[in-house]
Amino acid sequence: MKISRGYFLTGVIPVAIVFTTILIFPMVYVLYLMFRDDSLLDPNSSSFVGLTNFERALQDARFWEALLHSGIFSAVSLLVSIPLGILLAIYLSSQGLFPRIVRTLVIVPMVLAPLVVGSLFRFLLDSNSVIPWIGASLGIQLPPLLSTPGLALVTISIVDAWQWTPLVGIILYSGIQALNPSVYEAAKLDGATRFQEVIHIVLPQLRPLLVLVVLIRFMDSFREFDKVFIMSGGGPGTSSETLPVYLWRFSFQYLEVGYSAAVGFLMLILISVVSALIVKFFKGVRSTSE
Amino acid sequence: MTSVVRKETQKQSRKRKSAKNHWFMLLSALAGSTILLLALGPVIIMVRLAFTPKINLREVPIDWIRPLDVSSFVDVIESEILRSILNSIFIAASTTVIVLLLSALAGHVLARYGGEKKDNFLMLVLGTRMGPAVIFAIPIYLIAVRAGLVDTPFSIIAIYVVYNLAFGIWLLHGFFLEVPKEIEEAALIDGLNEWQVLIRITIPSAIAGVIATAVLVFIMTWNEFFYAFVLTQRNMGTFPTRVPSFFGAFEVEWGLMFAANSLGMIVPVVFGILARKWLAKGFAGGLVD
Repeated sequence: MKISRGYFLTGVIPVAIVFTTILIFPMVYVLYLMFRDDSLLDPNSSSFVGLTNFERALQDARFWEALLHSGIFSAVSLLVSIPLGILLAIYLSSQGLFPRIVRTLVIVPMVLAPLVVGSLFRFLLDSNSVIPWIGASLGIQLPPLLSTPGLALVTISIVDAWQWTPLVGIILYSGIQALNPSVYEAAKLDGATRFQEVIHIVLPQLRPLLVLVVLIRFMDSFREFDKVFIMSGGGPGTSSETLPVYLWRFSFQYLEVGYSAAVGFLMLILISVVSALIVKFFKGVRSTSE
Repeated sequence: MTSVVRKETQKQSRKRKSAKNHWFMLLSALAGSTILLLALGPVIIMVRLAFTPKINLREVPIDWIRPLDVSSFVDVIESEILRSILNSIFIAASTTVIVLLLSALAGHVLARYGGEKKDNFLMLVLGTRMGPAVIFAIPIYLIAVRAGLVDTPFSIIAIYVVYNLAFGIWLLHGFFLEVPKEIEEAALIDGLNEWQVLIRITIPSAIAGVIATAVLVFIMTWNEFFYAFVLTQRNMGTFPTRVPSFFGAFEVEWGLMFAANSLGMIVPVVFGILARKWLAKGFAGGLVD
């Protein structure tokens, strides 16, 4: 349908206004603040300081640790959720009544608020609570997972994986459904077993989609704030402080507005690179499926 | 002779196949139960504990057949949780309506006008939907403070609209693309204008997608914590912002928290199951089907 100029403008202008006022304005504000030393605690500090904030971030060991923690958080979350998600997808695409029931109910973790998930697991992981008890009845003496430096970060990350494995599962399940069934039939004639079929035929065809899922999961886990906030607050010490939590502390606890803007800008660059990659692979997935 | 032998082997193989089927069913049931136990176990424990007297919360193993006790719910309702749930309903519903109005029109334009370059629109979807909220928290907070908009519905709804708008446009554009162009063109020739085409032809033809978009926006808004935490206080605080208040400096009100969480998860779980076909798309920023 060919659309008129008037209709085009009534569709585009309101959206453009919303984005410029509510999105561009804060963005410009970040660009302004990041070169200044504004702090809400000290009304006198409001001067142009050039690149000082960036130098400070790059020299701050805690910033690099937060970046490292974010990397570990994403890596663990992905290493758990992607393989389990693949297994889940294979299960969901098998025949029978049970996979159909699972398909409906397995989505529950992902629609819960991350804060609800975090607060629930904080209880389950508490000493003398359910998870240590399960460990003990299996003969494993679990250390206090959320109050041990090093373990807290990995534990929260596994909880993140618990919430998002179903997402990986159902995305890949839809991908499997969309594959051309003639390929399997050819393989079956060649005497392939179900297992060979999955390894050699299904997975390679899903590869572009898998890359996309990895990138989406990376972006999601990289920005995760709620679970870390409610489960450990970044502690003990700063041992589970990821980049979003670091930025939140400097923004809303130390009230260092200028420095926070600079750190936010660094994060924005990182995220833009990943987004560009995602868009590139999205186009790839679409062109192979067409 | 050979045919008799063949019949025999066929029979045997059928027998073996049905035995194999039984094993397959059993394995399938086992695997399915394990998956459901892992996925739902923690949630079921939470709901059970919400109905458990506070002094018994720490007992392991959990006593599943203990009579249900609603004292945690009574206490949590006295602690203003209903107000925050009403706030959540109001904010999520307003956001959903505004996003749908703006993105139906823009999505239609994008579907019928967008050329090769429109995939670049995805950067906006990803940036607003999947970018870390904390990056712009400081400027948005400062602007809201200066404009006197902290703890009002305006600031939080405005943020949620931006957060979901590009996503809504992208999703609706995809659903509108599936509506055959010929139907729209025929309606234009019949004398409808483009607005009428959108309202009478395109939206009704893609109604499942429109409802799915609404449900997804609603769930996302309902579950959002960070901006609600920054921009609202007592007056407009949404459901998730109440959760940290159960974690006191010396004591955690687990019972109240479980009761509050159980109440707060009803909406997203029911909506999620209803919209399960579109959840993958929704949670992946509209990037997959």
